[in-house]
Amino acid sequence: MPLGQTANRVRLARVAEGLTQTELATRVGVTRQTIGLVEAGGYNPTLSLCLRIAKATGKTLDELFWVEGEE
Amino acid sequence: MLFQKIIPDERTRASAQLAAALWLGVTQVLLAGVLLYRLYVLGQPDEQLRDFQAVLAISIFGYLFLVAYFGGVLPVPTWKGAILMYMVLVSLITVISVAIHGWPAPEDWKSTWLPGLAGPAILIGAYTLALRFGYWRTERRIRSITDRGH
Repeated sequence: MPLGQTANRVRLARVAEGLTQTELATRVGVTRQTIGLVEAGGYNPTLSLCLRIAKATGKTLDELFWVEGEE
Repeated sequence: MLFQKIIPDERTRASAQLAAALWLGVTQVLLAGVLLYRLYVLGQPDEQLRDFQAVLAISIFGYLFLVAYFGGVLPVPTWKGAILMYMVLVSLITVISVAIHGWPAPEDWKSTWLPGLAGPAILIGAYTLALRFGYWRTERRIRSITDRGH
């Protein structure tokens, strides 16, 4: 079975926490552009970065990331 | 401050790896172009281009061997597979060389048959070793991490 595209709610979670992309990027130790691309679905983050984003936004991995069609 | 501090992250590192791989390919193609130009347009003798040829060969085969080694998952060829690869390579080299230079004189075996027969054997042997060592390295890493209780 081919893998579907990954999707995420990072933008929603970040806005809900009242964070800018730059602030979230600083908290998780990446560049603002990386956060922008993750939010836009243009970059698949590593598990390590997913976990750091989840921790910084107070969400679980399941709430933030999923595979299209398996939600 | 003239420049803001840039924090390299996983994406920028991946981009740098992609850029390096792409530019390595471009460099190899350019070097091959220079070799062909010097050989067939400027008519320079083959012996004067040995250094360029060595650099290009080391670059291409070194890259392939490292990919095989660090990947550690490529199928390691069986004896039959390796022999088949050897036969195909030798046949290709023979057909192309004979088509360009004609059948070699028996006394020239050191510069014709020897590299044509030994070269592919060395390449396939080294490639198989790179695959095998890469496979062992990856399996050893998995065991070592598993043994630590993760």
